[in-house]
Amino acid sequence: MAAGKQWKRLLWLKQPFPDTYTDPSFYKQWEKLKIEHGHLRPHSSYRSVLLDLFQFYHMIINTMLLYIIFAWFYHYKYNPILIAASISSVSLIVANKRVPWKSTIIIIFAMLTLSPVLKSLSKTTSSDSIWTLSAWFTTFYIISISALESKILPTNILLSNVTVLSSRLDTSTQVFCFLLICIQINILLPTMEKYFIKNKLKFLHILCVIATHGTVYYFITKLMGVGITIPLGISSLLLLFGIPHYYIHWESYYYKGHPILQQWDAEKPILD
Amino acid sequence: MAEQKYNIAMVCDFFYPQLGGVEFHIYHLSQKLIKMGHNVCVITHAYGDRTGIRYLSNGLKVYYVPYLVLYRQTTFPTVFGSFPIFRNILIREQIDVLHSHGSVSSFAHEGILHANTMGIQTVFTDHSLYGFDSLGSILVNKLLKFTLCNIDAVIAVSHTCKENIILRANLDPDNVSVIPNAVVSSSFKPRDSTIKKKSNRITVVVICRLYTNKGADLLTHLIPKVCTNNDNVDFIVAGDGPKFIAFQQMIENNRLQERVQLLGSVRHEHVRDVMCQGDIYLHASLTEAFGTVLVEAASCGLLIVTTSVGGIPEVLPEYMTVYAQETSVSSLIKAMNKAIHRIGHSKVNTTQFHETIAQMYDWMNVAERTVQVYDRISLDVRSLNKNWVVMLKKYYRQDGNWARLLYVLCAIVEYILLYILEILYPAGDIDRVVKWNSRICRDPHI
Repeated sequence: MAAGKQWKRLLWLKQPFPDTYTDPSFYKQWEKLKIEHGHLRPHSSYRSVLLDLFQFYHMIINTMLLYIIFAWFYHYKYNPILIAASISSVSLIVANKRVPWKSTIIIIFAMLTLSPVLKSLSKTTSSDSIWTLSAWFTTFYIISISALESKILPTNILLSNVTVLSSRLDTSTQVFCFLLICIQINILLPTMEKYFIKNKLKFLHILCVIATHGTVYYFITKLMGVGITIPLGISSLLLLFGIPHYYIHWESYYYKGHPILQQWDAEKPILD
Repeated sequence: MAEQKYNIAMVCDFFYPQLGGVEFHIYHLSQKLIKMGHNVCVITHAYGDRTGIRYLSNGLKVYYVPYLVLYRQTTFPTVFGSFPIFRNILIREQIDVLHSHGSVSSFAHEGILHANTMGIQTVFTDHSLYGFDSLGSILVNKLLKFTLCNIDAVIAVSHTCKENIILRANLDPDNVSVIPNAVVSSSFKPRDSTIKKKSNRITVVVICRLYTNKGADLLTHLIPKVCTNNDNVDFIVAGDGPKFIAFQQMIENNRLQERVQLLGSVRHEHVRDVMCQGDIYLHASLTEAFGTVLVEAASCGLLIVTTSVGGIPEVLPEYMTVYAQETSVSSLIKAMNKAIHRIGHSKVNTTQFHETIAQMYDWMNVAERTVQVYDRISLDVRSLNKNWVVMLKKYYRQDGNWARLLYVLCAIVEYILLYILEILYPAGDIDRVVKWNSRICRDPHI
């Protein structure tokens, strides 16, 4: 019935074709899509996903250091001055010329003045509430530091976390030392690692990572025994190596920027 | 063969008193179907105190079902929650065809599921385009795959829309018809040509909801530039939305109070009057399945300047439109200049637009083509399409290891529910309604 007449992709034209007629060029696109569906869509390399995930895992471990320091003061009653002095001197050696001295001294004195205040700030709150608060602060800290570009919010959350924990310590000296160490570990350590990565000091970086993980796992073993450390370590490793596979599996369903499928997306307005 | 008359149920969350493209589509299609001798009822959710059964013109019966409204007049999706009332209505009205509209309407989805279970033919019309990458569209597409799995026919409003839904819901292209929207041309007559225009000024009309995806950002950048370049051009902007303030700021920053009129939202019956004040209709939408407003504006005798996104290029002939190549301000300005030049130098005759559009887009034609779809699907009424086992098999053949199990589970629960409802409220006890038009009451039980 439609011999000789060419179908046109127009709605206003009355054409001698049934309503169910499909644009032949669409079939071609569809074929292409089906073929492509059989193959793997381009995805990130396993290595890069693994490294990204490791970065996240490493950050959690880094955050855990805060609790280890806290336990040293709160549970084991170690001498705070000794620890603070040794860690500070290490960080001084490492950071050497890159530190603006003036502001460092101002911050240290400000902390010294504030220590008794911070200590008494949440004194009347029960310990259980403090632990809960601290756990939530840590969660938000990890989320914010991995999700946000700016470091302002995470630093504030970290400071709040340290503040609530400080109220459980006995003396102002402990509070001051705790504050000092936490800032050094949570702010200077990642900065240092970034510096290592930037300057391709691979060996130092690996050393740093091993030291952090070693400390945390050693502490877990000391506190809870090998029975906890081994399952924890194995499950961390399994997750670390398993999740990237899962991620890449789902990436094949990710259609953003797909040459064929994106033609139905709303266009971007170009405000030139 | 005598023309078969159907009892049709239109199902959608969106209907009068809310106004919009889908709502008008359902209303006008129903009116024409009634005119053709079919019997139509509409099932929607209650709007405020508008609940129960109401009649619109020509005996168009509307069931306003009390239901929890979740977001932007979409009901809370419960899968099975609406089954008892749907079963009751479908039996009472002796429905032959259930016609659902709109893929974000949960009522439409649930209606299809219940009708399929009860062995009633189902048709679905999609009115908009959806992407494949955002969370919302992925959810809608997943839901669509479930409900359209056993659909008898699908209607799309444009070829672009058709291709979109084929990919979204994994449909057979031969089962998807393209039937465009239409306009009531008598409501969109051009201004009286005997009244001469007073001056040589050119007025550009914009009527759209002021949202980002309707191109509000483009418009706020474009209007000042066009005003500076062309001293004889004025703008009328009608519509409301989140970007309304941006338009007010644009007017004040550029001191265009004299030249840009911001009307706010305009009642549908006044749209024609607003359109008739202009010479050019400007449409800067970023996504569009059909674009009924373009047809309405052309019917009022306006030259159309538009972006060429989605189904827009299919809608109007070349001589009625000036397309912007891309969705950029510069490209739209180029198109505007072209249109202003054409209008200014009388290079385009818009007086014939109304007649031409009236012949191109007519609701009667839409209704006839829709009935053809109904005819096609009712021919294989006795086939195994509505057999529960066959339908289950189709659900199970969907891709997605978890999704298909969930589909099958939902279907089985639905079948069990039908038996329970049959025990609680036997079909024999449900009164059959007296039809508005007695000619087509064809109940075999009476």
